[in-house]
Amino acid sequence: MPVTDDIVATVRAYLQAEQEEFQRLNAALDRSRDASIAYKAMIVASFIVAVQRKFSSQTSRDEIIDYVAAVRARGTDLPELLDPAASERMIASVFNEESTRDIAPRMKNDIQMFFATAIVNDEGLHGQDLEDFLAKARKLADDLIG
Amino acid sequence: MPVEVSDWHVDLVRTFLRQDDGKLKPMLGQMPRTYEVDGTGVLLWAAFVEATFRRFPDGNVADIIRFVAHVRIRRGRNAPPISPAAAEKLIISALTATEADGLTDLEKGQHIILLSELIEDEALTDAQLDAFLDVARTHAKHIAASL
Repeated sequence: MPVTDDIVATVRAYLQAEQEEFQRLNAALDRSRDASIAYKAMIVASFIVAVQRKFSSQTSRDEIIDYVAAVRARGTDLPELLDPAASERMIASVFNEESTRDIAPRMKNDIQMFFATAIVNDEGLHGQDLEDFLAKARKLADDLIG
Repeated sequence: MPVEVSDWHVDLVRTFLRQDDGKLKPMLGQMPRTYEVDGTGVLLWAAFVEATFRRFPDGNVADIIRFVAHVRIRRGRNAPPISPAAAEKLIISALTATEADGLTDLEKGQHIILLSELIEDEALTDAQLDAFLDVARTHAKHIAASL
């Protein structure tokens, strides 16, 4: 099942930190197995596209450490939720072959959603730029689903 | 037997914090081979607690996160790695006098590295370091008395 417009709208609301809208759309999402896989793929793809926008294969370990610390330092609950080493590895893994299988799925999901949102915000993506971002992520998500 | 914090322990920690490896190596050779808590361990923890209070008087978590990141960047890839989550927990543990849950013995030992980094940032003169160690020794005596 490909990514639906409803899934994109839900991810858009999350990335824009529109909590009420996100909660409403999220609650109304199709919970079938295929739809859940498509939703998860869209989150993963949004993270990958965001990381590729912010960083590159030339990005140093130090730059990633610095950025992860800056994002975690913004929120009072983020330090507990986001393990720094896992966050750094998840970001670096977009550009290398390092496995992140040992990171708990829930932690992975939190990292992907938080950092996709942080990067979208830091990059100032709004309007058409955000739509272009979401279109790119949607295409990648559909490719991931196969 | 009560844990004692002696002049030798203070000299050992001072030598460690000054990174005087030539003097430190023979002193480490004189340390008792024991897993029991001794004067060195108590003094190092007390010094760490004092250093964290000086650096983070408000207990600001964002400052702690940024400090740990700064330390890891400064140490580079070649130094033994620090677990950032453990390092943050240790600092918060020191500031709040609570146990840092869920850490391995190796991670708990990271407070020694963090202490060294905190002191390096302070760039203390010899007199300031002596004053710092005096305060830490007083704390250590209280800790030792509670063991």
